Amino acid sequence: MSSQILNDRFEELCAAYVLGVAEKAEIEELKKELESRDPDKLARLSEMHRTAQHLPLFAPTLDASDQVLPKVLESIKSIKREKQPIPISSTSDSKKSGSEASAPSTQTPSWLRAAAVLLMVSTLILAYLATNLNQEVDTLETVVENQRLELMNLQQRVEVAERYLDVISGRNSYFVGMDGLDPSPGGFGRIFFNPETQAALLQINGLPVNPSDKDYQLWVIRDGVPISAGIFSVADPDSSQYFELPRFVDSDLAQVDAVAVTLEPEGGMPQPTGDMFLLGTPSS
Amino acid sequence: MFIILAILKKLTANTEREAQLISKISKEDEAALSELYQLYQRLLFSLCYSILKNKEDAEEVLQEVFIQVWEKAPYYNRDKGTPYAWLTTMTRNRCIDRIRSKAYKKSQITDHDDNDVILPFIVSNEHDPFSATLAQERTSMVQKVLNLIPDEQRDVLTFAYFEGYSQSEISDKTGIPLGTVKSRMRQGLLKLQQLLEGREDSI
Repeated sequence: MSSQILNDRFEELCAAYVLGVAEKAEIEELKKELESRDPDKLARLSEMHRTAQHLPLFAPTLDASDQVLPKVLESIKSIKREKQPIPISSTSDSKKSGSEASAPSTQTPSWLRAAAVLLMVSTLILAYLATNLNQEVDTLETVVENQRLELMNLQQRVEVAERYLDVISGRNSYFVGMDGLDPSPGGFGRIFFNPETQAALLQINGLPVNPSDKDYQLWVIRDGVPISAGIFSVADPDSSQYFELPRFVDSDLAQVDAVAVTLEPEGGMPQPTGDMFLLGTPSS
Repeated sequence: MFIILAILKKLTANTEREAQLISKISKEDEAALSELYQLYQRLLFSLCYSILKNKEDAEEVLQEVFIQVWEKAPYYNRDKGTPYAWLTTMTRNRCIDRIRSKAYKKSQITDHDDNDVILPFIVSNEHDPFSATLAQERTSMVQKVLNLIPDEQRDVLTFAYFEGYSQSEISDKTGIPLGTVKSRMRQGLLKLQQLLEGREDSI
């Protein structure tokens, strides 16, 4: 792989990460890239991070109503932080009893010196423990953040799966199958269609990964005329990939002549020009 | 270009003062919280509104953010980021969490148009002349910068940052291949970086 492609890939990972949309595998990949502590890579990630931090400035300028701040101030009154100031009792209390009250005021008693040393040692120990605790809190916050990202990722997957299920499980849903042709005889595809919601879903399996300068293009052929139904990429030839077809071109898939998938230049073509990989008809 | 740099500088010049305010908030200083709120409410509310597209929800999240500031101030670590970065990240995360929650989705009567990703630019009714000028200049700056980012790159950035969509979701929703989404996201961010660094002479 050329260094330019590797460079672009690294920048894609950085962009996804700083925008908060990187998936777990991408975060891992980015971590591996940064393991070498390459100053140039670290600088580029840092620069992208700084750039992304400007994005809030792109929001339309609006003011919150005057009621928000009073509500905030009211709410925080009920919040008591765990840490409380340590009460320090006064040593000049004139109402002390017994030997304490009669001790000479010009010389520090030995028990007080010992207590001071003990207090100092305790303070040092507490400071050490607090530092460790802070580090632990930092680590736990990182873990929580990673888990939050993972949860978001899972929620996204569930939502996508629910949408797929809606297409497949409709009362009158049906699908048109496509078989692999010469370039990829082991491949197959299906277009699921829900006539009630007009939603369509494409399943692809066994197609080779498309070159970076090409996309697969889905065609619906009606009255002998091919109409583009969208472009897609294949990342993993060994497992099924699903694509929603939000702007499906035909309101009745059962009435078309055929459906097909060809390999076209990146971005797709108005008419098919490349090799045909899949072909199917509603009646087959 | 000078206006852009000057406004960015103005918006980031108060880091020291803001860090002091957070330090005071960590000692339960309500006045410091009020001051930080006044400094940031416009920016954070604008961000909330852009993501949530609903005034009541945006105000609710803004309120939650400042309560969180009160609670988390003792743990704020300046080495990990500026107050600006801390506050905007916290705000965006809360907004994205909210739009991802099912309850929130169900409460939305109508869905926004997925294809309409061009942000509306609204100038608020300012009373402070300086703030009004700053807001107008910021709006103008944003429009200038955004207009220089190609539409397809800007749409992908907006989908990701202000809509909270993952790259796969953007690909699913728009029908654009995943590889193209990734590529446009990278190009858009680099273009923005280039514009903000002032390397673009045409601004």
